[in-house]
Amino acid sequence: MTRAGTMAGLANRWGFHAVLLALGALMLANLNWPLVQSFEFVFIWEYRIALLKGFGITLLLTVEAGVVGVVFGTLFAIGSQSAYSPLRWLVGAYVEVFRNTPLLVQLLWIHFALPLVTGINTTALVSGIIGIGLQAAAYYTEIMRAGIQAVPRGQVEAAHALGLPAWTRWTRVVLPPAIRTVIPALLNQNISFFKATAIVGLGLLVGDFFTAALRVSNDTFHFLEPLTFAAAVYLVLGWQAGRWTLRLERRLSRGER
Amino acid sequence: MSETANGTNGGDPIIRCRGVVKRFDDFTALDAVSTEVRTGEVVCIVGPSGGGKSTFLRMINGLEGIDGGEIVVDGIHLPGSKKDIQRVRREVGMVFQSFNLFMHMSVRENLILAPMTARKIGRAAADERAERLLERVGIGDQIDKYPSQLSGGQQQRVAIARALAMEPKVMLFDEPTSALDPEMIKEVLDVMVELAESGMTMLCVTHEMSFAREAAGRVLFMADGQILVDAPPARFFSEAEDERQASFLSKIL
Repeated sequence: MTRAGTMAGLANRWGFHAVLLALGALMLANLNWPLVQSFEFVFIWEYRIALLKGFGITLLLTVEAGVVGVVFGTLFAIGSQSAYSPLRWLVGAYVEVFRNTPLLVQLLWIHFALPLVTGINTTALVSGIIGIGLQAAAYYTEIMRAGIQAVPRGQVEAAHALGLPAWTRWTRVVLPPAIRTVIPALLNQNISFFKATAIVGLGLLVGDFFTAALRVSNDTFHFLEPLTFAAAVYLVLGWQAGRWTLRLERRLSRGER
Repeated sequence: MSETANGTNGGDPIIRCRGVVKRFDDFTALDAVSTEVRTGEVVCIVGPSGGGKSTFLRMINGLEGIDGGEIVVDGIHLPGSKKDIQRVRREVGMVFQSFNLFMHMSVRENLILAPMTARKIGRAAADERAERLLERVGIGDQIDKYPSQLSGGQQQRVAIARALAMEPKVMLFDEPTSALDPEMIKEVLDVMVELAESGMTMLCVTHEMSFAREAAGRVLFMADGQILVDAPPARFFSEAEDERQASFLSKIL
Protein backbone atom coordinates (compact mmCIF):
# COMPACT_ATOMS: atom_id res chain seq x y z
CA MET A 1 0.00 0.00 0.00
CA THR A 2 2.65 2.50 1.07
CA ARG A 3 4.87 1.29 -1.74
CA ALA A 4 2.12 1.64 -4.33
CA GLY A 5 1.38 5.05 -2.84
CA THR A 6 5.00 6.15 -3.19
CA MET A 7 5.11 4.84 -6.75
CA ALA A 8 1.96 6.74 -7.64
CA GLY A 9 3.38 9.81 -5.93
CA LEU A 10 6.60 9.52 -7.91
CA ALA A 11 4.76 9.07 -11.19
CA ASN A 12 2.58 12.02 -10.28
CA ARG A 13 5.57 14.20 -9.44
CA TRP A 14 7.50 13.13 -12.52
CA GLY A 15 4.47 13.72 -14.71
CA PHE A 16 4.15 17.20 -13.30
CA HIS A 17 7.85 17.86 -13.78
CA ALA A 18 7.67 16.69 -17.38
CA VAL A 19 4.84 19.10 -18.12
CA LEU A 20 6.74 21.95 -16.51
CA LEU A 21 9.88 21.09 -18.47
CA ALA A 22 8.01 21.02 -21.76
CA LEU A 23 6.37 24.35 -21.03
CA GLY A 24 9.69 25.76 -19.91
CA ALA A 25 11.43 24.69 -23.10
CA LEU A 26 8.67 26.22 -25.19
CA MET A 27 8.96 29.52 -23.35
CA LEU A 28 12.75 29.59 -23.34
CA ALA A 29 12.78 29.25 -27.10
CA ASN A 30 10.66 32.36 -27.47
CA LEU A 31 11.87 34.32 -24.50
CA ASN A 32 12.48 38.03 -24.56
CA TRP A 33 15.52 38.01 -22.28
CA PRO A 34 15.83 41.75 -21.58
CA LEU A 35 12.20 41.75 -20.45
CA VAL A 36 12.71 38.76 -18.20
CA GLN A 37 15.70 40.41 -16.60
CA SER A 38 13.44 43.34 -15.76
CA PHE A 39 10.92 41.07 -13.90
CA GLU A 40 9.73 43.02 -10.91
CA PHE A 41 7.64 40.93 -8.58
CA VAL A 42 7.97 43.68 -6.02
CA PHE A 43 4.68 45.09 -7.42
CA ILE A 44 2.85 42.04 -6.11
CA TRP A 45 4.09 42.82 -2.62
CA GLU A 46 3.16 46.47 -2.92
CA TYR A 47 -0.42 45.57 -3.86
CA ARG A 48 -0.72 42.72 -1.39
CA ILE A 49 -3.68 44.24 0.49
CA ALA A 50 -5.71 44.79 -2.70
CA LEU A 51 -4.81 41.29 -3.93
CA LEU A 52 -5.82 39.72 -0.61
CA LYS A 53 -9.12 41.59 -0.64
CA GLY A 54 -9.72 40.37 -4.17
CA PHE A 55 -8.87 36.84 -3.11
CA GLY A 56 -11.48 37.15 -0.35
CA ILE A 57 -14.14 37.97 -2.97
CA THR A 58 -12.98 35.03 -5.09
CA LEU A 59 -13.28 32.71 -2.11
CA LEU A 60 -16.68 34.15 -1.22
CA LEU A 61 -17.99 33.49 -4.73
CA THR A 62 -16.49 29.99 -4.79
CA VAL A 63 -17.97 28.95 -1.45
CA GLU A 64 -21.27 30.61 -2.29
CA ALA A 65 -21.49 28.71 -5.59
CA GLY A 66 -20.90 25.48 -3.66
CA VAL A 67 -23.40 26.12 -0.87
CA VAL A 68 -26.16 27.67 -3.00
CA GLY A 69 -25.50 25.08 -5.69
CA VAL A 70 -25.79 22.09 -3.38
CA VAL A 71 -28.85 23.38 -1.49
CA PHE A 72 -30.86 24.44 -4.53
CA GLY A 73 -29.43 21.69 -6.72
CA THR A 74 -30.69 19.12 -4.21
CA LEU A 75 -34.14 20.73 -4.04
CA PHE A 76 -34.39 20.95 -7.83
CA ALA A 77 -33.15 17.37 -8.22
CA ILE A 78 -35.92 16.23 -5.88
CA GLY A 79 -38.33 18.27 -8.02
CA SER A 80 -37.02 16.54 -11.14
CA GLN A 81 -38.18 13.21 -9.64
CA SER A 82 -41.69 14.51 -8.96
CA ALA A 83 -44.76 12.74 -10.26
CA TYR A 84 -46.15 16.21 -11.08
CA SER A 85 -45.00 16.80 -14.64
CA PRO A 86 -45.11 20.65 -14.75
CA LEU A 87 -42.58 20.67 -11.92
CA ARG A 88 -40.32 18.28 -13.83
CA TRP A 89 -40.52 20.44 -16.96
CA LEU A 90 -39.78 23.57 -14.96
CA VAL A 91 -36.64 22.04 -13.44
CA GLY A 92 -35.61 20.68 -16.85
CA ALA A 93 -36.04 24.07 -18.50
CA TYR A 94 -34.11 25.79 -15.74
CA VAL A 95 -31.20 23.37 -16.04
CA GLU A 96 -31.09 23.63 -19.84
CA VAL A 97 -31.20 27.43 -19.86
CA PHE A 98 -28.43 27.89 -17.34
CA ARG A 99 -26.19 25.12 -18.63
CA ASN A 100 -26.48 26.08 -22.28
CA THR A 101 -25.87 29.82 -22.13
CA PRO A 102 -22.47 31.39 -21.37
CA LEU A 103 -21.91 32.48 -17.79
CA LEU A 104 -20.83 35.92 -19.03
CA VAL A 105 -24.12 36.40 -20.87
CA GLN A 106 -26.08 35.32 -17.79
CA LEU A 107 -24.14 37.70 -15.57
CA LEU A 108 -24.59 40.72 -17.83
CA TRP A 109 -28.26 39.87 -18.35
CA ILE A 110 -28.85 39.65 -14.62
CA HIS A 111 -26.97 42.87 -13.93
CA PHE A 112 -28.22 45.05 -16.78
CA ALA A 113 -31.38 43.48 -18.24
CA LEU A 114 -33.10 42.00 -15.18
CA PRO A 115 -33.43 45.38 -13.37
CA LEU A 116 -35.34 46.67 -16.41
CA VAL A 117 -37.85 43.87 -15.90
CA THR A 118 -38.05 43.87 -12.10
CA GLY A 119 -37.24 47.49 -11.34
CA ILE A 120 -34.76 46.36 -8.69
CA ASN A 121 -31.14 47.39 -9.18
CA THR A 122 -28.45 45.19 -7.72
CA THR A 123 -24.80 45.96 -7.06
CA ALA A 124 -22.21 44.20 -9.20
CA LEU A 125 -21.28 41.85 -6.38
CA VAL A 126 -24.90 40.90 -5.68
CA SER A 127 -25.49 40.30 -9.39
CA GLY A 128 -22.38 38.15 -9.44
CA ILE A 129 -23.54 36.17 -6.41
CA ILE A 130 -26.96 35.62 -8.00
CA GLY A 131 -25.50 34.72 -11.38
CA ILE A 132 -22.91 32.17 -10.29
CA GLY A 133 -25.39 30.76 -7.75
CA LEU A 134 -28.02 30.23 -10.45
CA GLN A 135 -25.57 28.51 -12.75
CA ALA A 136 -24.12 26.41 -9.94
CA ALA A 137 -27.63 25.27 -8.95
CA ALA A 138 -28.21 24.12 -12.56
CA TYR A 139 -25.02 22.06 -12.69
CA TYR A 140 -25.49 20.66 -9.18
CA THR A 141 -29.08 19.70 -10.02
CA GLU A 142 -27.75 17.35 -12.68
CA ILE A 143 -25.10 15.92 -10.35
CA MET A 144 -27.61 15.36 -7.54
CA ARG A 145 -30.10 13.84 -9.97
CA ALA A 146 -27.48 11.30 -11.02
CA GLY A 147 -26.78 10.54 -7.34
CA ILE A 148 -30.46 10.09 -6.55
CA GLN A 149 -30.94 7.78 -9.51
CA ALA A 150 -27.95 5.71 -8.40
CA VAL A 151 -29.69 4.79 -5.12
CA PRO A 152 -30.88 1.19 -5.58
CA ARG A 153 -34.53 1.16 -6.62
CA GLY A 154 -35.30 -1.51 -4.04
CA GLN A 155 -34.35 0.73 -1.12
CA VAL A 156 -36.74 3.42 -2.33
CA GLU A 157 -39.47 0.78 -2.74
CA ALA A 158 -38.82 -0.48 0.77
CA ALA A 159 -39.23 3.08 2.06
CA HIS A 160 -42.57 3.32 0.22
CA ALA A 161 -43.69 -0.11 1.43
CA LEU A 162 -42.96 0.85 5.06
CA GLY A 163 -45.25 3.86 4.65
CA LEU A 164 -42.45 6.33 5.47
CA PRO A 165 -43.51 9.99 5.15
CA ALA A 166 -42.01 11.66 2.05
CA TRP A 167 -39.72 13.88 4.18
CA THR A 168 -38.25 10.85 5.96
CA ARG A 169 -37.92 8.94 2.71
CA TRP A 170 -35.86 11.73 1.16
CA THR A 171 -33.78 12.84 4.13
CA ARG A 172 -33.06 9.44 5.67
CA VAL A 173 -33.22 6.89 2.86
CA VAL A 174 -32.48 8.54 -0.50
CA LEU A 175 -30.25 11.57 0.05
CA PRO A 176 -27.55 10.15 2.38
CA PRO A 177 -26.33 7.49 -0.07
CA ALA A 178 -26.98 9.81 -3.04
CA ILE A 179 -24.79 12.60 -1.65
CA ARG A 180 -22.09 10.17 -0.64
CA THR A 181 -21.93 8.91 -4.22
CA VAL A 182 -21.59 12.35 -5.79
CA ILE A 183 -19.30 14.13 -3.31
CA PRO A 184 -16.28 13.89 -5.66
CA ALA A 185 -18.34 15.17 -8.61
CA LEU A 186 -19.63 18.06 -6.47
CA LEU A 187 -16.12 19.05 -5.45
CA ASN A 188 -14.77 18.83 -9.01
CA GLN A 189 -17.63 21.03 -10.15
CA ASN A 190 -16.76 23.53 -7.45
CA ILE A 191 -13.18 23.71 -8.71
CA SER A 192 -14.65 24.75 -12.06
CA PHE A 193 -16.63 27.49 -10.34
CA PHE A 194 -13.49 28.62 -8.50
CA LYS A 195 -12.00 29.33 -11.94
CA ALA A 196 -15.25 30.80 -13.24
CA THR A 197 -15.11 33.51 -10.56
CA ALA A 198 -12.58 35.25 -12.83
CA ILE A 199 -15.37 35.62 -15.42
CA VAL A 200 -17.64 37.12 -12.78
CA GLY A 201 -14.82 39.46 -11.82
CA LEU A 202 -14.07 40.67 -15.31
CA GLY A 203 -17.68 40.72 -16.48
CA LEU A 204 -19.10 42.70 -13.56
CA LEU A 205 -15.93 44.20 -12.04
CA VAL A 206 -16.69 42.85 -8.58
CA GLY A 207 -13.08 43.27 -7.44
CA ASP A 208 -12.18 39.59 -7.22
CA PHE A 209 -8.62 38.28 -7.21
CA PHE A 210 -8.25 38.33 -10.98
CA THR A 211 -9.50 41.92 -11.37
CA ALA A 212 -7.19 42.95 -8.51
CA ALA A 213 -4.26 41.48 -10.44
CA LEU A 214 -5.41 43.34 -13.55
CA ARG A 215 -5.56 46.57 -11.56
CA VAL A 216 -1.94 46.07 -10.56
CA SER A 217 -1.12 45.80 -14.27
CA ASN A 218 -3.06 48.93 -15.14
CA ASP A 219 -1.43 50.92 -12.36
CA THR A 220 2.12 49.81 -13.00
CA PHE A 221 2.02 49.13 -16.77
CA HIS A 222 3.52 45.72 -15.97
CA PHE A 223 1.42 42.90 -17.38
CA LEU A 224 3.71 39.93 -17.18
CA GLU A 225 4.24 39.75 -13.43
CA PRO A 226 0.67 40.23 -12.09
CA LEU A 227 -0.96 37.99 -14.67
CA THR A 228 1.65 35.27 -14.27
CA PHE A 229 1.24 35.49 -10.53
CA ALA A 230 -2.57 35.26 -10.84
CA ALA A 231 -2.33 32.23 -13.13
CA ALA A 232 0.08 30.53 -10.71
CA VAL A 233 -2.28 31.07 -7.77
CA TYR A 234 -5.25 29.56 -9.67
CA LEU A 235 -3.07 26.67 -10.83
CA VAL A 236 -1.69 25.77 -7.42
CA LEU A 237 -5.03 26.00 -5.62
CA GLY A 238 -7.03 24.25 -8.32
CA TRP A 239 -4.46 21.50 -8.64
CA GLN A 240 -4.27 21.01 -4.89
CA ALA A 241 -8.06 20.93 -4.52
CA GLY A 242 -8.20 18.35 -7.30
CA ARG A 243 -5.70 16.18 -5.42
CA TRP A 244 -7.76 16.41 -2.23
CA THR A 245 -10.87 15.47 -4.16
CA LEU A 246 -9.14 12.45 -5.65
CA ARG A 247 -7.94 11.34 -2.23
CA LEU A 248 -11.45 11.74 -0.80
CA GLU A 249 -12.88 9.82 -3.76
CA ARG A 250 -10.49 6.93 -3.07
CA ARG A 251 -11.35 6.92 0.61
CA LEU A 252 -15.09 6.94 -0.10
CA SER A 253 -14.85 4.08 -2.58
CA ARG A 254 -12.69 2.11 -0.14
CA GLY A 255 -15.40 2.45 2.51
CA GLU A 256 -18.02 1.34 -0.01
CA ARG A 257 -20.19 -1.42 1.31
CA MET B 1 -49.65 -25.53 10.73
CA SER B 2 -53.03 -27.24 10.86
CA GLU B 3 -55.93 -26.43 8.57
CA THR B 4 -57.86 -24.91 11.43
CA ALA B 5 -55.09 -22.49 12.41
CA ASN B 6 -54.42 -21.11 8.97
CA GLY B 7 -57.18 -22.52 6.87
CA THR B 8 -60.07 -20.91 5.07
CA ASN B 9 -62.21 -20.92 8.19
CA GLY B 10 -60.26 -17.92 9.63
CA GLY B 11 -61.69 -14.53 10.55
CA ASP B 12 -63.29 -11.82 8.43
CA PRO B 13 -61.81 -10.97 5.04
CA ILE B 14 -59.01 -8.43 5.51
CA ILE B 15 -58.14 -8.27 1.80
CA ARG B 16 -60.81 -8.31 -0.90
CA CYS B 17 -59.92 -8.12 -4.59
CA ARG B 18 -62.65 -7.63 -7.19
CA GLY B 19 -61.90 -7.80 -10.90
CA VAL B 20 -58.40 -6.39 -10.49
CA VAL B 21 -56.77 -5.39 -13.79
CA LYS B 22 -53.18 -4.33 -14.47
CA ARG B 23 -51.87 -3.29 -17.87
CA PHE B 24 -48.35 -2.46 -18.99
CA ASP B 25 -48.88 -0.65 -22.30
CA ASP B 26 -50.56 -3.27 -24.50
CA PHE B 27 -49.77 -6.18 -22.21
CA THR B 28 -52.42 -7.21 -19.69
CA ALA B 29 -50.50 -8.45 -16.64
CA LEU B 30 -53.57 -9.08 -14.52
CA ASP B 31 -56.91 -9.92 -16.08
CA ALA B 32 -59.82 -9.44 -13.67
CA VAL B 33 -58.40 -11.14 -10.59
CA SER B 34 -60.80 -11.69 -7.69
CA THR B 35 -60.07 -13.32 -4.36
CA GLU B 36 -60.31 -12.82 -0.61
CA VAL B 37 -57.89 -13.31 2.24
CA ARG B 38 -59.23 -13.73 5.76
CA THR B 39 -57.53 -12.60 8.94
CA GLY B 40 -55.03 -15.23 10.05
CA GLU B 41 -54.92 -17.00 6.69
CA VAL B 42 -51.65 -18.00 5.06
CA VAL B 43 -51.95 -17.96 1.28
CA CYS B 44 -49.16 -19.01 -1.05
CA ILE B 45 -49.18 -17.79 -4.65
CA VAL B 46 -47.33 -20.05 -7.04
CA GLY B 47 -47.04 -20.32 -10.79
CA PRO B 48 -44.74 -19.76 -13.76
CA SER B 49 -42.75 -16.54 -13.96
CA GLY B 50 -44.45 -13.75 -15.85
CA GLY B 51 -47.82 -14.97 -14.63
CA GLY B 52 -48.54 -11.83 -12.63
CA LYS B 53 -47.84 -13.12 -9.09
CA SER B 54 -45.47 -10.35 -8.01
CA THR B 55 -47.46 -7.66 -9.79
CA PHE B 56 -50.58 -8.78 -7.92
CA LEU B 57 -48.76 -8.75 -4.59
CA ARG B 58 -47.31 -5.28 -5.26
CA MET B 59 -50.75 -3.87 -6.04
CA ILE B 60 -52.01 -4.82 -2.59
CA ASN B 61 -49.76 -2.22 -0.91
CA GLY B 62 -49.89 0.30 -3.73
CA LEU B 63 -46.40 -0.26 -5.18
CA GLU B 64 -48.19 -0.81 -8.49
CA GLY B 65 -51.21 1.18 -9.62
CA ILE B 66 -54.57 -0.46 -10.30
CA ASP B 67 -56.01 -0.10 -13.81
CA GLY B 68 -59.38 -1.71 -13.12
CA GLY B 69 -61.42 -3.23 -10.32
CA GLU B 70 -60.58 -2.62 -6.68
CA ILE B 71 -58.66 -3.95 -3.73
CA VAL B 72 -59.98 -3.36 -0.22
CA VAL B 73 -57.42 -3.76 2.55
CA ASP B 74 -58.70 -3.54 6.11
CA GLY B 75 -61.57 -1.36 4.92
CA ILE B 76 -59.40 1.00 2.84
CA HIS B 77 -60.25 1.11 -0.85
CA LEU B 78 -57.61 1.07 -3.59
CA PRO B 79 -57.14 2.75 -5.96
CA GLY B 80 -57.36 5.65 -3.55
CA SER B 81 -55.72 8.90 -2.55
CA LYS B 82 -52.07 9.14 -1.55
CA LYS B 83 -53.26 9.21 2.04
CA ASP B 84 -55.20 5.98 1.57
CA ILE B 85 -52.14 4.30 0.07
CA GLN B 86 -50.03 5.44 3.04
CA ARG B 87 -52.65 4.07 5.45
CA VAL B 88 -52.61 0.71 3.65
CA ARG B 89 -48.82 0.59 3.69
CA ARG B 90 -48.73 1.13 7.43
CA GLU B 91 -50.98 -1.92 7.91
CA VAL B 92 -49.26 -4.14 5.36
CA GLY B 93 -45.65 -5.23 5.74
CA MET B 94 -43.62 -6.35 2.75
CA VAL B 95 -40.55 -8.52 2.36
CA PHE B 96 -38.68 -8.36 -0.94
CA GLN B 97 -36.65 -10.88 -2.87
CA SER B 98 -33.52 -8.70 -2.60
CA PHE B 99 -34.03 -7.72 1.09
CA ASN B 100 -33.78 -3.99 0.29
CA LEU B 101 -32.34 -3.03 3.65
CA PHE B 102 -31.09 0.53 4.02
CA MET B 103 -27.39 -0.14 3.58
CA HIS B 104 -26.15 3.07 5.21
CA MET B 105 -28.01 2.34 8.45
CA SER B 106 -27.29 -0.17 11.20
CA VAL B 107 -29.71 -3.01 11.76
CA ARG B 108 -31.18 -1.08 14.70
CA GLU B 109 -31.70 2.06 12.59
CA ASN B 110 -33.36 -0.03 9.89
CA LEU B 111 -35.83 -1.32 12.46
CA ILE B 112 -36.68 1.87 14.34
CA LEU B 113 -36.96 4.30 11.40
CA ALA B 114 -40.50 3.44 10.27
CA PRO B 115 -42.06 2.99 13.75
CA MET B 116 -40.63 6.34 14.86
CA THR B 117 -41.53 8.36 11.76
CA ALA B 118 -44.62 6.64 10.32
CA ARG B 119 -46.13 5.46 13.64
CA LYS B 120 -44.68 8.26 15.80
CA ILE B 121 -43.70 5.99 18.67
CA GLY B 122 -40.88 7.07 21.01
CA ARG B 123 -37.24 6.10 20.72
CA ALA B 124 -37.26 3.88 23.82
CA ALA B 125 -40.34 1.94 22.68
CA ALA B 126 -38.91 1.60 19.16
CA ASP B 127 -35.60 0.30 20.53
CA GLU B 128 -37.39 -2.17 22.76
CA ARG B 129 -39.48 -3.37 19.82
CA ALA B 130 -36.41 -3.71 17.58
CA GLU B 131 -34.56 -5.78 20.17
CA ARG B 132 -37.57 -8.03 20.78
CA LEU B 133 -38.15 -8.65 17.05
CA LEU B 134 -34.50 -9.39 16.35
CA GLU B 135 -34.55 -11.95 19.16
CA ARG B 136 -37.66 -13.43 17.61
CA VAL B 137 -35.96 -13.89 14.21
CA GLY B 138 -32.88 -15.26 15.99
CA ILE B 139 -30.29 -12.51 15.43
CA GLY B 140 -30.56 -10.37 18.57
CA ASP B 141 -26.77 -10.17 18.75
CA GLN B 142 -26.45 -8.44 15.35
CA ILE B 143 -28.36 -5.27 16.22
CA ASP B 144 -25.46 -2.84 15.90
CA LYS B 145 -24.01 -4.31 12.70
CA TYR B 146 -24.52 -2.97 9.20
CA PRO B 147 -26.42 -5.02 6.62
CA SER B 148 -23.25 -5.57 4.58
CA GLN B 149 -21.73 -7.39 7.57
CA LEU B 150 -24.54 -9.98 7.57
CA SER B 151 -25.19 -13.06 5.45
CA GLY B 152 -28.08 -13.05 2.99
CA GLY B 153 -30.21 -15.17 5.31
CA GLN B 154 -29.55 -12.81 8.20
CA GLN B 155 -30.33 -9.78 6.03
CA GLN B 156 -33.65 -11.28 5.01
CA ARG B 157 -34.50 -11.97 8.65
CA VAL B 158 -33.69 -8.34 9.45
CA ALA B 159 -35.99 -7.33 6.59
CA ILE B 160 -38.80 -9.46 8.08
CA ALA B 161 -38.20 -7.90 11.52
CA ARG B 162 -38.18 -4.42 9.93
CA ALA B 163 -41.61 -5.05 8.39
CA LEU B 164 -42.94 -6.53 11.66
CA ALA B 165 -41.75 -3.47 13.59
CA MET B 166 -44.69 -1.57 12.08
CA GLU B 167 -46.98 -4.17 13.71
CA PRO B 168 -48.77 -4.82 10.42
CA LYS B 169 -52.02 -6.72 10.08
CA VAL B 170 -50.87 -8.44 6.89
CA MET B 171 -47.44 -9.51 5.65
CA LEU B 172 -46.60 -9.81 1.95
CA PHE B 173 -43.62 -11.91 0.88
CA ASP B 174 -42.31 -11.49 -2.68
CA GLU B 175 -40.12 -14.53 -3.34
CA PRO B 176 -38.28 -14.05 -0.04
CA THR B 177 -35.86 -16.96 -0.53
CA SER B 178 -35.14 -16.70 -4.26
CA ALA B 179 -31.97 -14.62 -3.83
CA LEU B 180 -30.53 -16.80 -1.06
CA ASP B 181 -27.85 -19.45 -1.12
CA PRO B 182 -29.43 -22.88 -0.51
CA GLU B 183 -28.02 -23.27 2.99
CA MET B 184 -29.69 -20.03 4.10
CA ILE B 185 -33.18 -20.73 2.80
CA LYS B 186 -34.19 -22.81 5.80
CA GLU B 187 -33.41 -20.14 8.41
CA VAL B 188 -35.73 -17.71 6.60
CA LEU B 189 -38.47 -20.29 6.06
CA ASP B 190 -38.31 -21.24 9.75
CA VAL B 191 -39.04 -17.62 10.65
CA MET B 192 -41.93 -17.56 8.19
CA VAL B 193 -43.39 -20.78 9.57
CA GLU B 194 -43.16 -19.41 13.10
CA LEU B 195 -44.89 -16.23 11.93
CA ALA B 196 -47.66 -18.25 10.26
CA GLU B 197 -48.20 -20.30 13.43
CA SER B 198 -48.47 -17.10 15.46
CA GLY B 199 -51.59 -16.22 13.47
CA MET B 200 -50.17 -13.56 11.13
CA THR B 201 -52.11 -13.05 7.90
CA MET B 202 -49.62 -13.82 5.13
CA LEU B 203 -49.53 -13.69 1.34
CA CYS B 204 -46.43 -15.34 -0.07
CA VAL B 205 -45.27 -15.48 -3.65
CA THR B 206 -42.86 -18.37 -3.45
CA HIS B 207 -41.17 -21.23 -5.23
CA GLU B 208 -40.69 -23.11 -1.95
CA MET B 209 -43.29 -25.86 -2.31
CA SER B 210 -42.27 -27.36 1.02
CA PHE B 211 -43.29 -24.10 2.70
CA ALA B 212 -46.57 -23.98 0.81
CA ARG B 213 -47.31 -27.55 1.81
CA GLU B 214 -46.37 -27.03 5.45
CA ALA B 215 -47.63 -23.56 6.29
CA ALA B 216 -50.22 -22.48 3.75
CA GLY B 217 -53.95 -22.75 4.27
CA ARG B 218 -54.56 -22.08 0.57
CA VAL B 219 -52.51 -22.18 -2.57
CA LEU B 220 -53.32 -19.89 -5.50
CA PHE B 221 -51.97 -20.88 -8.89
CA MET B 222 -51.49 -17.89 -11.16
CA ALA B 223 -50.69 -17.93 -14.86
CA ASP B 224 -51.41 -15.54 -17.72
CA GLY B 225 -52.65 -12.88 -15.29
CA GLN B 226 -55.37 -15.04 -13.76
CA ILE B 227 -55.91 -17.18 -10.69
CA LEU B 228 -56.50 -20.57 -12.29
CA VAL B 229 -56.57 -22.69 -9.14
CA ASP B 230 -57.47 -21.88 -5.54
CA ALA B 231 -57.13 -24.96 -3.35
CA PRO B 232 -55.83 -26.20 0.01
CA PRO B 233 -52.24 -27.44 -0.36
CA ALA B 234 -53.08 -31.12 0.13
CA ARG B 235 -55.46 -31.04 -2.83
CA PHE B 236 -53.33 -28.61 -4.86
CA PHE B 237 -50.31 -30.91 -4.89
CA SER B 238 -52.20 -34.20 -5.32
CA GLU B 239 -54.75 -33.57 -8.04
CA ALA B 240 -54.30 -31.01 -10.82
CA GLU B 241 -57.55 -29.40 -11.90
CA ASP B 242 -55.97 -27.32 -14.66
CA GLU B 243 -53.74 -28.27 -17.56
CA ARG B 244 -51.18 -25.54 -16.84
CA GLN B 245 -51.17 -26.46 -13.18
CA ALA B 246 -50.39 -30.07 -14.12
CA SER B 247 -47.54 -28.97 -16.37
CA PHE B 248 -46.22 -26.60 -13.66
CA LEU B 249 -46.34 -29.30 -11.00
CA SER B 250 -44.63 -31.83 -13.24
CA LYS B 251 -41.71 -29.40 -13.66
CA ILE B 252 -41.18 -28.53 -10.01
CA LEU B 253 -42.03 -31.70 -8.11
